[in-house]
Amino acid sequence: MDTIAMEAIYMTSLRWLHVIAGIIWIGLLYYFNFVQTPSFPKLEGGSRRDAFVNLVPTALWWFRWAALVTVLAGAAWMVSYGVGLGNSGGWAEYVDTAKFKSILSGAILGTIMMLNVWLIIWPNQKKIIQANTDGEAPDPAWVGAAGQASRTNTLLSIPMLFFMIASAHGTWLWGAIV
Amino acid sequence: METLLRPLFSVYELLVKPVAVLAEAILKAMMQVYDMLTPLLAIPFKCVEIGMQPFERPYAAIVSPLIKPFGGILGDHRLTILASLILLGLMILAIRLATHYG
Repeated sequence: MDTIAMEAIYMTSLRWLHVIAGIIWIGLLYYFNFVQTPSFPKLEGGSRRDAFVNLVPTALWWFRWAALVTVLAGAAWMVSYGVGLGNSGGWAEYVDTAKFKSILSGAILGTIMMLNVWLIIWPNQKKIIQANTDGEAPDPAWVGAAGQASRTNTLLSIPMLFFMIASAHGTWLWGAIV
Repeated sequence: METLLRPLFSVYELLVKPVAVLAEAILKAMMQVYDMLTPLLAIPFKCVEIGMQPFERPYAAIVSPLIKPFGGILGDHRLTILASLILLGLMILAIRLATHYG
């Protein structure tokens, strides 16, 4: 297999890993915000505890690892493209394109979202799960902090997805620079 | 219709069944290897979990005060979506202005 074919396989694999992990991440983010959060208060104590012990940890496992994989695969793709793989002209040419400016805007939002997952949502959710496992009521401060960071991510998700997609389908946004 | 299709299904099954059996055997063998490697695969996951912990407090100390004033908006997912669309609009406007006058 020649180098160009190997490069294409590598770049395509990274892109698809980024997209699939991104779908899992944002899909679960919307599940937490639009399905779980409004539904859990309606569950009875025993059912809610069961859900926290058996369902939430699995959902959060996929959620946090998908977030990390999405960001790492995306960053690896950008760096690879920047250094000249995937038939690019290297950094000097790449940074001046609408494609780069758009994907960078999305990447900044995505990175903030990933950090919110790993450094605010997950640490607080761990304490909430532990409290439920022990049969205790979780501290409202943990619930508040995790919930607010999760809603912040929902807030950032629409612009993030817009700029990610705009890198291929919205170069008009950046005026004459295409 | 079913009577007509039945011989076709029989031929299909005759051809597909050995492939399916072989595929299942290969996948099961692969899963056995995966199960053997699982304890090793858990190591990088654990390393990332531990590696993130020192950053939790400083990051929360910076970000929590920034998002706290938006508690009202962030308390209702309908308002969150509306605010998200407004944020997108503002970002697009800022980019258009910057590319026009920049």
